[in-house]
This record gives sequence, structure tokens and C-alpha cells, in this order.
Amino acid sequence: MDIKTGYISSVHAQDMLHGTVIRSPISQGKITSYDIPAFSPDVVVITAQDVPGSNSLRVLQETMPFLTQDSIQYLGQPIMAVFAPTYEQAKVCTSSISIQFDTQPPEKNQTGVFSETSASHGDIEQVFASADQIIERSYTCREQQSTFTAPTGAFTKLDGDKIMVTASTQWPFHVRGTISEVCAVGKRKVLVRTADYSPNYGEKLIYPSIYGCLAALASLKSGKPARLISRFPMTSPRITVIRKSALNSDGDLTGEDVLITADIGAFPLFADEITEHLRGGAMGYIPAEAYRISVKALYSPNPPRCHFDGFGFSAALFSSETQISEICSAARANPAQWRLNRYGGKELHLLNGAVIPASPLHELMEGVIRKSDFHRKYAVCRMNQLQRNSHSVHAGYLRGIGIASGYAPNGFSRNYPWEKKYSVSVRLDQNNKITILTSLCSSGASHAWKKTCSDVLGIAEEHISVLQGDTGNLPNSGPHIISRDIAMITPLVRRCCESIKKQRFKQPLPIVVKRGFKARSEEAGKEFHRYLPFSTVAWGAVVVELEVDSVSLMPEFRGIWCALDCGKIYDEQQLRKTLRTKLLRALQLTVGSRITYDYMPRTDIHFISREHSMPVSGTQVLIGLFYSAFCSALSQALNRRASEIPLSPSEILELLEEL
Amino acid sequence: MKIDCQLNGKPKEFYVSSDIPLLQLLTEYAHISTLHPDCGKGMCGNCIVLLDDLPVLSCLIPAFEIRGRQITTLERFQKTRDYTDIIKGFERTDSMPCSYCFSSKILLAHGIISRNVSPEPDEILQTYSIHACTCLDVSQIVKAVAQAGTYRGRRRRYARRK
Ligand code: FES
Ligand code: FES
Repeated sequence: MDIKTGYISSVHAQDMLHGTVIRSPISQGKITSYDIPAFSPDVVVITAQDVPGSNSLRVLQETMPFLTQDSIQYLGQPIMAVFAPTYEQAKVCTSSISIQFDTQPPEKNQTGVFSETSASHGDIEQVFASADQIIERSYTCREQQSTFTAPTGAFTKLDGDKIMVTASTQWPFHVRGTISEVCAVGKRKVLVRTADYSPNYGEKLIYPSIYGCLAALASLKSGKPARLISRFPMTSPRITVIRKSALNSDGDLTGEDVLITADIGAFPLFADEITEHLRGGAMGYIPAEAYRISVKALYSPNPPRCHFDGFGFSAALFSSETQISEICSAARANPAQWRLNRYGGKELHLLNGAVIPASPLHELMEGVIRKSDFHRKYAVCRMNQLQRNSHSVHAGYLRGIGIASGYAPNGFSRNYPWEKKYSVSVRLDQNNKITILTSLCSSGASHAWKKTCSDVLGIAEEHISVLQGDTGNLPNSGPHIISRDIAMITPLVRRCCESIKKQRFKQPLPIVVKRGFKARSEEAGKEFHRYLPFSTVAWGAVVVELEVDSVSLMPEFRGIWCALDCGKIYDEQQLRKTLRTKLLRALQLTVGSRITYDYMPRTDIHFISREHSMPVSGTQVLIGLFYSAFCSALSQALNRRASEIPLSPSEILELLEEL
Repeated sequence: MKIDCQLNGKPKEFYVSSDIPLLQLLTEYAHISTLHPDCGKGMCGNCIVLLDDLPVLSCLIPAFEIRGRQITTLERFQKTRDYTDIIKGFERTDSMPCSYCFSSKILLAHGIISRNVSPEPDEILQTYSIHACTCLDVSQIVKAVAQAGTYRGRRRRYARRK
């Protein structure tokens, strides 16, 4: 067996220049001057003055500066890049460049709200005024740094008048478009090939375009191949949710008031999308007489945030589900039974009163309750918790069990105009072979695409391939984010195949069919979309059982049970592997430190497969529910309120020290 | 400074600054392409090579340390029969690592089973704790290495008998 060596760090070429980026050490201010010493001729320095085209980066309808000329808007903002024959030499040259800053904030200080959205119904003030009990809690997913990711960077070389680019990117056409604009060359003269980019934390969405431009400028200036790999740490947004629930004397929810803020950094990249996802996630499944949800995406002098697993839906889902557990805890009710009673049968009533007719939540909940033996364990942990009230924290086991259930979407929240530009093609050749053409590549999804083609056209999988290529021969399928590969591309592949099926034996071969995304109104007939602005959703239920080590205060997981409805499943083993990876990563983010093999818990992932639906990714729902079940279990174990992610042992100690 | 060593079975000379990490020497000067380091400071475990047949984190070894020693990377190791034992073990237990961490995981397995062909689960997990990947199931990795150990043991016994 031979392995793929397709990472950007493995790309080399004769005479290649190695690049380093000089970044701003301050978060706000101005560059007053800089001094670049005379370097040997084989060293190339790229500054804002070397940009022949536009010195900015366009992300959908927003822009951010490429190389800053004078004003500094965030810590780590790229100022210039140095390329030299060896990496060491580039570093030495970098350290001899001096830049002076004025750390005063710039005159027109950018502050405030980038995007906001809200939803409301009923008279919220009145409902709270007449409530028997009000539960107010705050939930936070703090900013976290990515760890253990594939290298981020780009390699460029010139081939005649063309710029050949290899980049570890989730969005090859964005790299192409940016290089074309920054270097002022035609789009067709830039050919981008994707290097392996997994594992990643979403940092390979925008940043490879910056590195691609820097490397391309170095290649254009020197005529030599250039490679730039950066290890700039990437951070997720800080999301805070304040939830206020009004309850009547029976413990039923009568009103919800939710305020969500997300710090998204210095530029409003994906701001509308983030607010939309947060609003969707905050919409719980218990109907109330009145509700109000307001969401704000806020400015901060930080680098544009990376979206580890979606645009914040998981964080909002975490708040909704943990709040339900808090309500149960206040009512001294078993959270699993309470949920089962409220969810009833197949019908699910959302916070806004809308009814989702066929929800699998009840079935999923029953599955994890049975497998984890939830009721018995909950009773034991609850008793232990009550007994501990009067004793010291170390009397008895610090053990708890938590449950959460819900849904999370795939894909963008609405069909913005840009979505309609993206497409996928399928080609049936003379030799009865099928080729799928898309710029999104992911080994897990490509298996589902092949199976889909095989199902529709009855062609054996070995005759179906996914074309590996560059932006010159692949259609633009948009960014690889929020599981678009599985949720958006698979239905398009199916539509292409269905069209080929109609034309097959009537039209001469090859038959090529291209399909793009539909506008939301075209999908309006579907019941679900009336209530939720998302195309597809995955459902899930998660139980977490843990014990806090009374010496190290590290949560030791005794078991994690998950049940998921991810639509049609083509390869259960592969899906289980993928989700386990995501779950363990979420676990790492939850405890706030690197976890090792000897720490990993037992995980049980169970699926409901629906034959006649499309595959859906369960990543976001799994993460949101895991966070919630973890916090509920930890709250029970510690007999304190755990409502932040991550929670390290020192933070657990702080919780224990609270009176 | 001149550093000579055996890289993948061949004598090599490098003219580099003595304190650069072995990792940098391998990737930048020797163009070894199977290493995919992430952190450069001993955290990710994705830069493992064999130094005199023992797995080490190459980002933590200064270049001067390798003078006169043998360095083996996956490029050469995958041509050996020792590699076949490990691959068979991982394949048999359906726990093949991804291409990103492949080299490190395979060389770690070699480090374990070259000492002991019947390693205890604890020994396997402790050794693998040097690596930050959380993708593979604990039980899978234990099974894969144990299986690889069985193949290695069988091969050694067979060779001795011959
Ligand atoms: S590069 Fe991360 S441990 Fe060596
Ligand atoms: S990073 Fe390769 S299997 Fe986890």
C-alpha cells in the first residue's frame, strides 16, 4: 500500500522560495514606518505596494484588507511577507525588518454590531409578569484555538502566462478569484488544485486565499516557485446566550426571552449566516405563549474567526437543551421523562408553536435512554447529589448523567444569490463510465455520491469516479463548509443522474448534465421549510455519563451514547468513524485540553436509517447535544451549575469553591 | 555546520545550522514528504521518525544530535517487511490511520512491537498518547498494534526455525 502525500507541506519544486508572513503584534493602531534592509537578490519581500490589483479579499458580499498599508485592525494582521531560498533564511530576513507602530486606536474606531436578527411572538412582558417561576441562565462557548490541523498554505509556480496554485483550501474557487483580483490577472489564468486539508477546523476557508496571493506575488516577482505555510493560530468565536424562561405553576414553559451575542472578529465575514444559525439553534422544541430571540454578531479587534463545526448552531442548541435540563432540575423532574412527555409522539411543537409532523426525536430518545440505562443511573446520581448537599464536596462520588436531544441543519440557512452560482456535473461516457465533477472533495461524501449514482443508474460503483482536477476543469461547487458536501452535493448528484436516466438510450453519449442549487421559493412546498430556514436537518439524542476525579478534577467519561437520524446511510462504518472523530474533538474542546488515547471514553453511536431520504451530516447536532449533555452531567456531579464550554479542572475547582 | 548521518540507509551530509530541529532538516533540506507536522513543539506527535530504530519526535531533536546516527522515515520503512506486519495489523482490524498521521502512527507501532511482540493495552495506549489524533477508537488501536505484534512474532519464529 502506498500513501497519499498530498499535503501542502509535501509540495516541493526546484528553486522553490519559502515564505513567512510578518504580522501585526498589536490589535489596533497604525504603522508609522518600516525599515527593510537590503537583502540578497534571491530574497523577495511582498508589501502592500507590490499588489498590482485590488488590495482586498472578497468573501461573498463582504470584504477585508489583504495586506495592510497603515491601519491595523486586528492582532496578527498580515503586513508583509518574506520569501527566501530556505525557510531559515526567510526567518532571519523577517527578523531584520523593523516596523514602528502607533498603538493609539485609529481615529474612526470600528465598533458595534455587524449583523442582527430577531424573532418574537406574543406579549413577553406580560408572560414574565404573571410567571410563577423564572429561570435565568447564561451559557457560553468561549473562544478556542484549533489544535492538530493539517498545514495551511499555498504553493504557486508560473507556467507560461498561467499561475498554477496548489492550496490546502476548502474553497478552491475563492483562492482563484482572490489571486485573480489581487494579482490583476484573468481568472482563467489561475488554476487552483486542492491539497489535502483534513483534519481542519474551518481555518482553510479564507486563509489559504491570502497565502495563495502572497505566494503568487512572490512567483510573479521572482519567476520562481514559491510556497507559504502558516501556523497562525485560529480561534472560534465566543458565543454567549442569556436565556430567561417563564414557568407556570405546573412547571410548563410559558415564555422564553433569549439574547445571543457572538464575537466574530474585526470583519463581518459570514455575519448574517452566523446570526441566522444562532437564531435557529435557540428555537427550542417546547412551545410557549410568548417568546423573543435577539441575536447580534459583534465586532472585536480580533482576527476573523474560524468556524470549527458550523456557524454557531451547536452553541445555541447547547443553550436550549441545557436550559431544559435546568428547568427539569428546578422542578426535580427526570430530564429524560420530562422531554419524552413533552415531545409526545411523532409531532414536534417548536417554541414558535409551529408543528413538525414527523420528528424522530421520541424514537431517538428512547434508544439512548434504553442503551445507557438512563433512568436507573439518573436516580442513583440524583440521590448521591441530594445526599452531598449537606456534606463536603468530596463525600461520595462526583458522578452525573445528562441527556440532550434536538436537530441541527446542514448547509447555508437561506439561498443567497451566490448559492445559485454553484453547481455539480455528472457525465456518462461511451464506455458506460460515470464521472462526477465537483470542486468539493471529501472521501466520505464521494462514497455517498457514487452510491447515489449507482442506485439511480444501476451502474456498478467501480465504474463511477469523482474527477480530481483543478479550477480549470471542475465546476464551482462553492465552499466546503457546514457539511455542504453531503447535504447539498448529494441531492444535486441525484438530480443529475435522474436527468441522465431520462436521456440515456435516447441521446448519443457522452451525456453531460449540470445542476445548480435551487432558490428557497422553489422548495417551499416542503412542510419543514415553513418553520426552519434550512434545507436539511439531522436529528439526535445524546447521553453522557461522567465522574469527576476527586484529585485531578478531570471529568472521566464513563460512557457516551448517541442516537442519530442522518437520513439515508450508505456506509455506516465510515459514518460512525467520522462522527466518532467529531465527538472526540468536541470532547477535547469541552475539557479544554489535549486528550490522549488512554483517556478516551467508550462511545456508542446508533443510527436510524431512512431509506427514502437523502444523507444528512450529523456533526453539528452531535456536537451541540454533547456539550449540553456534558454540562448537565457535570452540574449533577458537582452539584453546581456548569454552563460554559470548555471547563478545565481549574474552572471546575472554581465552581466547587462557589458557595 | 556539517552534519553527517545515515538517512534512510544512505550516508548523507547536511550543511545546516546545528540547532535547527531534525524535523526542519528532514522537510526542508532532505525533502521528506511523509511528515505532516502541526505544532513544531512536541504537542501533536505528527513528526515521528526512527532514530536508531526508536521512534522520536523529530521537532524536539536538534540537528547536531543526529551526527553519525541512523534516521529512518516512512519513505524507507514502507519498503521493509516490518512495515508489512504493521499494515496487515491495521488492515485486519479495519483501523487504518488517515494519510495525515499515517507515518507517525505506523512508526509508533513499530517502536512498540520491536520491543515486545505481545504488548499490553496500557503500553500501547501510553505510547500512542504522544500523538494528538483522536480519530481512532482506543480499542481499535490496541487491537491493530496487538495484531501487528502477532504477525511480527510469527515471522520472527518462522525466521528462527529456518
Ligand atoms: S511537530 Fe508536533 S510534535 Fe513534532
Ligand atoms: S489524524 Fe489521522 S487518524 Fe486521526
